Amino acid sequence: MESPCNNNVETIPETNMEETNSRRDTIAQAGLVAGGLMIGSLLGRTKAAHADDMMNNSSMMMPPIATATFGSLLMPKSDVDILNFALILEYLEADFYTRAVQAHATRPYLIGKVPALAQKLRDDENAHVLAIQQRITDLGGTPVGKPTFQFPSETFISPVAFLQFAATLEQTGVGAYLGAAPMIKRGDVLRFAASIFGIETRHTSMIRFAGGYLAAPDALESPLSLNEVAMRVAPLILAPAAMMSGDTMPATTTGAM
Amino acid sequence: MFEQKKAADNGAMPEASEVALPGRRRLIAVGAAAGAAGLLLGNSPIGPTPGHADLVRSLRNFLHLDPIVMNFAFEMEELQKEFFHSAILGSAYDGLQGREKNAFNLMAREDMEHFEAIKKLRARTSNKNSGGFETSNASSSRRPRFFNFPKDAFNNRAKMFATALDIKETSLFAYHGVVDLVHKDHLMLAAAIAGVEGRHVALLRELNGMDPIPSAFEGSLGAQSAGKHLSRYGFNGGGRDGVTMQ
Repeated sequence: MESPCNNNVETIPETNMEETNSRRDTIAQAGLVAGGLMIGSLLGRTKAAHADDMMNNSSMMMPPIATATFGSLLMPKSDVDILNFALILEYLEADFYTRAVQAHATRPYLIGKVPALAQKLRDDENAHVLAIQQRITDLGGTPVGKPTFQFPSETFISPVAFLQFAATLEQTGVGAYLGAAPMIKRGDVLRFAASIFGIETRHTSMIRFAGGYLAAPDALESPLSLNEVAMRVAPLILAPAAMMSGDTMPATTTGAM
Repeated sequence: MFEQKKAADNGAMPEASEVALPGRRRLIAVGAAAGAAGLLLGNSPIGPTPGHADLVRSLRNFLHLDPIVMNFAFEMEELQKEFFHSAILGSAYDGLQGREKNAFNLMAREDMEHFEAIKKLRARTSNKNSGGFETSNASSSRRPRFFNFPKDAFNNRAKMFATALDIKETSLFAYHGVVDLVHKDHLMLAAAIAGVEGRHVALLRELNGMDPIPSAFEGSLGAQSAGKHLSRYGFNGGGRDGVTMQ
């Protein structure tokens, strides 16, 4: 059966596809028409973006939800601010894989090695969350709270949608860490961030490989500005942490340096 | 396990070495800086105090280590480029499966691009600043081949994968070990390359039946250790004539 999504998303090699005529699969694949476009528009990375535009994206219209979530973290004054920005991304990734693993446990939809990979990525992202929270505290700052996220429903039904979404999510994380690197002041914080960045690149590699894509399509990673990252993840944020906890503004922290 | 050949007798002409005499002195300076940083940072789980961080930053800024670190990276990429180029010409390559061949081709191509990217930045830096990269006369086209690889590295699948992984992982960890010694353009390029090296390592491990992501945090290796380890392949950026980076 030819997937109706083939015109909208990259084709996954047949060896990685589960041949099934089930109603659920048909619905899932049909959902990819919209889902593929949505994911692409939410998180798509244009090659044109370059380090030069990292610090100045004032012309972009930032969605209110992004402003409410990231607040002054978009103009970081300290390494703690940058770590808090990273923390929001790690919350996002951890939440996504946690939900995917739960969805698979309830109703298996991931195939081959992907369920184990999803669990591994969930564990890694949770480890990153804890480590960043700890590092922020060590620096005298306060970790931001976790926003409430939303994800395209097909990513929890279709293995293709899961892999594609995960790949774009990881790629966004990689770009965010790389883009923020020159803004980090302390050497130890830079090394710490780099150690997470390195694992995010491995995640991207393995998710892409599992989906039949090139593990490393470009010889160089591409940076993303904080504004670009915020714009791309904004549609995935249902509510900022501060709003959920009754605070007035997202936690912006100072801490050391 | 691998043939232990000293860098000093790998056939390279000393005068053609990437690390010319002034460079060697600066390598020692890198060693001092990195060593001082290590002492200051220690192994404390909470990291250094802000005062320590200031001192380390001042030290690396004062020494202006970027060109030296990038020379080190330049030679690491040259080593990888040479290895993967030779690998796809070897007999072991013919016995690889499709995905494995794709991976080796990908790495050969991207390591070449890394090498060229560093060369380009090196030229740009040299033009802007006479204190830029060392040995501007050592163009890649005129550089003698001084790398050596283990016997059977290209006609035995297991040996080929083991060598590929050893070179890749050591280089990857070395990038992470020097990330706080470089700035701005150099930092961006080194990190952009390191990210892709991480992808390569994960892919190689996966294809070799190993856990592609054995830890939630990337490892790092001091330049001295990395250089010493890679010297078995003729790498001299950190080990030639006993001069080390850390």
